[in-house]
Amino acid sequence: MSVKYIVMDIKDNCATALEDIEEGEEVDYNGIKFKINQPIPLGHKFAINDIKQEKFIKKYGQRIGIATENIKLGDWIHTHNIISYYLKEVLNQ
Amino acid sequence: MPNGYMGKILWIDLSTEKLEEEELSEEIYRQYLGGYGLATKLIYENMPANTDPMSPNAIFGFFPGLLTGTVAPLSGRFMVAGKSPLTKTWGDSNCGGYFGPEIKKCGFDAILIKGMANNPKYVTIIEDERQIVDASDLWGLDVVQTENMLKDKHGSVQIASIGQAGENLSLISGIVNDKARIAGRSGFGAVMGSKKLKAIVLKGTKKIEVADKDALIQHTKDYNEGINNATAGGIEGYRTLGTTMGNEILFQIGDTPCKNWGGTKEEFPSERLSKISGVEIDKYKQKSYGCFSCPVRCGAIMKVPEVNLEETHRPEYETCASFGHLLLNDDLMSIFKANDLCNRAGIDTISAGATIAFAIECYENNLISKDDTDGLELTWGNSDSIIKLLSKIINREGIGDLLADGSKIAGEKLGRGSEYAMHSMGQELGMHSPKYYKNMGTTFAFDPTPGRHTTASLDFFVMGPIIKPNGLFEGITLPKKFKRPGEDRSEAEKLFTAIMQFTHSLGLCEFLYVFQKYPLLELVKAVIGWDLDISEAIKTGQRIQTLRQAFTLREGIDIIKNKLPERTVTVDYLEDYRGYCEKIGWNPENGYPLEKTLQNLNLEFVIKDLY
Repeated sequence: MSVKYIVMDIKDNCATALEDIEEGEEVDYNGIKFKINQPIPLGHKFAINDIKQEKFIKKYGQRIGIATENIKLGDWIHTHNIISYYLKEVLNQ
Repeated sequence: MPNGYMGKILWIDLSTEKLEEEELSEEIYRQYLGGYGLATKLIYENMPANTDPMSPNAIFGFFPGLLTGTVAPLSGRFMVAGKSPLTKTWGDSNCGGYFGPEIKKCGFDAILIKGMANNPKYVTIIEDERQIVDASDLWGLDVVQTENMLKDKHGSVQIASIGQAGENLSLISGIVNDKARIAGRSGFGAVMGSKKLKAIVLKGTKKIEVADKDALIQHTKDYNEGINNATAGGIEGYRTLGTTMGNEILFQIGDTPCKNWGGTKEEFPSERLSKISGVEIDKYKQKSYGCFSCPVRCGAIMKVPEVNLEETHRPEYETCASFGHLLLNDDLMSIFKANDLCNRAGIDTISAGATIAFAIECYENNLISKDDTDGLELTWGNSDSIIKLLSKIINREGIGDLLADGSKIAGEKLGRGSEYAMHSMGQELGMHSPKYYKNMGTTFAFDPTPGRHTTASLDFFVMGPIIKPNGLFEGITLPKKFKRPGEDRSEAEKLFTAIMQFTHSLGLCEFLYVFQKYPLLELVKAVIGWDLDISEAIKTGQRIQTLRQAFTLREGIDIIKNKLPERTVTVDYLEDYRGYCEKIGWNPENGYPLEKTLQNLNLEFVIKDLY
């Protein structure tokens, strides 16, 4: 497969793996090369920017969660380092 | 008063205009549940083999699940079931929205239709008052117009109706509720149209008793809290983009077919693909909505002024794939338009798009010309022609009449081009490739309802919690790497297929498998009071699947000889199927359930029909 990940929207700070990506594997996003820091299973997210604690995780161009710790470029993003933004978003409507 | 279910069903005979209630025993519910479990039992026993599905003797019905109508999460679904006029096999089609729960609120676990009216009719069941009403003024209207007129007349009611496609007996037509939710597969719009039944109108306030209300509320609260706090498992995607979140991803991983299943990624490159992405579609969203009792809410109302759509529904992934990727069509506006036309006319978007793909490939290969297409230039990605052709199919105008019954029949009538018809026994394949999901070929070819992607494909859910180490249920461990070619998947297929029948018959949305662990048996206990263990759940699922299979076999169909179009598959799906048959006690040579299997599943009444 030629493309190993997809970024859903230009405003996103995470990508979605289109196949299993191994730890240490080098990927290229917008001309910037970086290494994947943990194994990323198919369908899971990883950071394409550094994301500071309490900042939003953006996917589909929308806020889907809040970082619970500092997330580095290439880090796996999953339930261990983000919380949902959904209820806050709904309550704000 | 039973818990969870209502204890009776309603028979509507359109020939005699009689409506009769029938009470069912708890034993039947326990063995067949609701949904297509109950449907198989009732229709198998009441409709003889080889009944013409569009004759007065044919029976079809609406079957909510056993949990439907309660607050149990994701439980608002129902099945339309009977004999498919498209495949001539067992047919079923699953649908969400608010119609299924209303059947229960009217006091029934199923509504079955038989007979045939002389003139267009609709049926009202409003509280305890039931009527068969003249529908002459509704005939010819689309489903949105129909729902609006009926709501003006009857107030706040739930409606299932057919549009022009069903009236025109298109074999790829469906039945629509909530103005855009369609039981699209298997061709039941034509069955309803053949009976001249335009609509069913429901309003009920009957209470569904539950065994343990506190437990039901607690399990529901816990599950919904998990969904609301989820940051993974695809939930955020479904909630944001609905199924269109797959428009790009599924194509990139090799799942979504393109160019009538014969194209390559290079023929629909990312700059074109991105024009029909879920993110692009989301720009037209006005608000999200969900089915009854669903915390995810993957539906959306859209406004698309570019094509004069003030209020329309978000196209599903399947629709985007069949009118987008499959036709090499990156004109998003045409996909919105096609979706709206199909929903209003009540035609299955998968079959409609795939049949247009067939026509385009015939045109591109000079098997048909402008003389045949009423002047349309049927080239790949020609969105103007696609929309015009769709309108012709809906109205059976010109070449549309040839195509209105799907690609298989069109090829046969045309006398050429059948190699471009991507179907299984007449039903166009769902928009998921067996080249990617290795088990999908087995499902497409050999499920008792051929061509459907939602019935039982194991690999479809590889990313969901069902394959996590703890599994979906206690006591089930599926092989972690079962998706990989060359491994024996038969044991996993056996379990998963049974679980799918079980959950569908409870009225649950199958997306529950991709979200998070669902308290399935706990909810059955809370709602109905049955202390089911996993082995009984699996046995029940096997019983339902085996009876679906028996229905199709009793029609004289040699299902094991069915073949999929070569370009859609790579693995030996027949070998997989034979392994599955062995595991569940069916004859691997012909797919017939063994006599001892039928006895073990309390299906002795089937033996005389198959042996």
